[in-house]
Amino acid sequence: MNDHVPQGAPLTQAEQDAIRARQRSRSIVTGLILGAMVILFFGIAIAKMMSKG
Amino acid sequence: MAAQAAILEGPIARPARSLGCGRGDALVKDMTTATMTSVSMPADWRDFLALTKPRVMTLVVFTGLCGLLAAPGHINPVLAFTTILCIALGAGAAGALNQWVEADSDRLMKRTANRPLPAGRMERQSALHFGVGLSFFSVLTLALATNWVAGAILAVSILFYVLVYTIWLKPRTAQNIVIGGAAGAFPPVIGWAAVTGDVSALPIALFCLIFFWTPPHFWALALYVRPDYANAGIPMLPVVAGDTVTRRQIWGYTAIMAIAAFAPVLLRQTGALYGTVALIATGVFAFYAFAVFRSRESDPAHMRAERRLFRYSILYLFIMFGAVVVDRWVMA
Repeated sequence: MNDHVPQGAPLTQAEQDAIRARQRSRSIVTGLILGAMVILFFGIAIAKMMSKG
Repeated sequence: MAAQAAILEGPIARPARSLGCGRGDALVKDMTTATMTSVSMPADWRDFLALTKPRVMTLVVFTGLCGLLAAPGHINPVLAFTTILCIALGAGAAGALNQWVEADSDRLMKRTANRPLPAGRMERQSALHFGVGLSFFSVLTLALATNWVAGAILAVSILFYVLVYTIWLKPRTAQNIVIGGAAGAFPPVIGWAAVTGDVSALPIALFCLIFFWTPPHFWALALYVRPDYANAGIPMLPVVAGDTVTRRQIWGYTAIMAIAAFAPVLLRQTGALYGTVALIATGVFAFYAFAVFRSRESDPAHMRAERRLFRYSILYLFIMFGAVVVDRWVMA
């Protein structure tokens, strides 16, 4: 199992593309989750204000 | 190299499929296996989702929702949604921490070997950070959105599942799921507490129903996946005490569960509708449990009665909790 890329060995184009694609999909999902959190906390704040009002 | 290090999840050698094969990445598919096994990849977001055990979450969310709907009083729909979301996230966090603890034993069982950690698709530390982060987020969000009683019960349920069940009981005693089952029994109590801010007779009765339902449910499964548990060295009851004792215990706990099933009626918290549904559904459960008790099948591949009880036990909980909600609404 010790078959890592040796120190300093460049990644092939296909490997770089695969890693970038994985990063891109993670970034999109993270962005969507953060956006949903903003909406959720806005909703919670409004609901709490309404219940106090 | 600094740039390379920044884009890698960690220095772990990964099996070929961990690079996303079968997920539509044409470039990855084009790479040779030799190349693929040599590169570390950032964990896929789907693997983080898998850590949360989404299928197990269904029952947790449903029982939590029923606890919330059965509670007297009103809760803003946004806060109700937040409550259910936090119960789901809390369960997911507990699932992630469970997989972090059990990564080694999961590798030894067919049923769990393809999970993200044993399959080598994710670094162990990532699962720990994800689980801890999700735990804090779910507990704090629930506490701030509803009340600290609900938040505290969610925190206790996560800690109970991870510390008491996963780390302490599961590897040590065959009674692991009897006591550990309490962790899965908290959601209706959390749902109820989110509305009322306290815990009264009905949520405790619902807690008891899930608590005593857990042993027959889990042991029915454990009977036909016994070789897996034995391989992993997990002392589940069929492995430690044998099939006959397990079948007797399933029948015994079914009897106790039946009493818990009628507790809401005896406590005058529900009416005739729930009582009728409970009578029929629990009767069917007892019939299937008795079939398991009577069975002498020793080959896990041919344990039909055990599979039937396991499948029905899931449906049973849906029926019972659905009946509680409908009955409470009718009574109201």
